[in-house]
Amino acid sequence: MPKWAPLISLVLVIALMIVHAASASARAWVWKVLAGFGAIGVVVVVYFGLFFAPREAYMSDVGRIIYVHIPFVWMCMVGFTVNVVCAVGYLFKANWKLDALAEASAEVGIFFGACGVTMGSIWARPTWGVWWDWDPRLISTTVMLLVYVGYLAFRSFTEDPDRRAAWSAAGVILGYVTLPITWFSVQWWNSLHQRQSDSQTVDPAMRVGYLFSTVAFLALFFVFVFKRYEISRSRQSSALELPPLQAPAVKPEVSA
Amino acid sequence: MKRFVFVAALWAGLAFADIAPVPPPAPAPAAVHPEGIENVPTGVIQGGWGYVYACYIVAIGGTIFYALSLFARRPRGSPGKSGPQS
Repeated sequence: MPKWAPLISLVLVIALMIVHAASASARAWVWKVLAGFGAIGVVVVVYFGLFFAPREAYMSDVGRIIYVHIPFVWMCMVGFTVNVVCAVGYLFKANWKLDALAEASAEVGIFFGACGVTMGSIWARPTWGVWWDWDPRLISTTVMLLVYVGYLAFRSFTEDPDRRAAWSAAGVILGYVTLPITWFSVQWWNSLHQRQSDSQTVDPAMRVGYLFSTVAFLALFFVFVFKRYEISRSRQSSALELPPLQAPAVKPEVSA
Repeated sequence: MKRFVFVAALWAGLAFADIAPVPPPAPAPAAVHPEGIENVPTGVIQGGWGYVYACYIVAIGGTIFYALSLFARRPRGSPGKSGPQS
C-alpha cells in the first residue's frame, strides 16, 4: 500500500464531511459517496490485512488483527468525544440538533467499542493465554462502555424531552472522564495491554495499513452517525408534537 | 598464664576466622513466581489464523449488522427535513 494512501484518503473524507455540513443540498449524496468509499476501503483493508501485510515480529500472523482492532477502538473514542462536545453545546445553547447528534454519536461509539473489545478479547487468547483479564486497560474500557450504555438507557427511560436532553448531557460530561482514564491506563498502571504504538515501534508497512483502515472506518462512522442522527431527529419530532400528558379519568367511587 | 593463653587462642581464632575457606553457598531454590511467569513461553506465536478470521468476521459482520439495523429503523418520510428546528 502506498505511503500517501492514508493521508490522501483522510483529506478526501474530511473534505466530504465539510461539504456535508456546509451544504444542505449536498447531504443527499455525500453520505452515499462516503459509504461507498468506506465499503471499498474495508475490502482493501481485508485484503491487505489477511494476504498482503507483513507478519508481526512476535505474534506472527495473529498480529494481523491490528488492522481492525485499533480502528474500531479509535472510532469508539471519536464517537464519545463527539458526544461530549454536543452535550456541552446543548447545555450552552439548547439545540435539539445537538441533542440528536449526541445520542447518535454515543450509540455508534458503543457499537464500535463493543466490536473493538470483542476483537481484543479474541486477540488476547493466543497472546496472553486468556480470553479476559482484569487488567487496568480492560477494566477502564469496560467501565467506559457501561457508562455510555447507561447514558442511552437513561435517555430511553425519561419521557420528558427537555429533562432527558439536559440531564443526559450533564451526566455524560461526567462520564467522559472515563475516556482519558482508558487512554492513559496503560501508562499509569502496570497493564498486560501494550502501550500506545508510535512511529518508533511500528514498521511503516504496518502503520500505513492501520492508518488507512482507520480512515475507511471513519467514513463508515460518519455515515452511521448521520443515519442514526436522522432517526433521533424523527423521534424528537414525534415526541415534541405529543399532546401534554393528561391525568387519567378517575371513575368516581359510589358509596353504598 | 592460663588466662593469657586462653585470650591469645581466642584472638588467633578470631583473626584467622576471616581467612578461613568459606564453604560454597547452598544452591538457591528454583525461582518460582507466584503467578507462574517463568512458565511463559518465549518465541514467536505459530498459527492462530482462526483468531484472525474470527476478528475479521466480527468487524465485517458487525458493521453489516449495524448498517442493517439503521436501515430497519430509518424514519419513514422525507429524510433530512424531520425534527424540530433549533
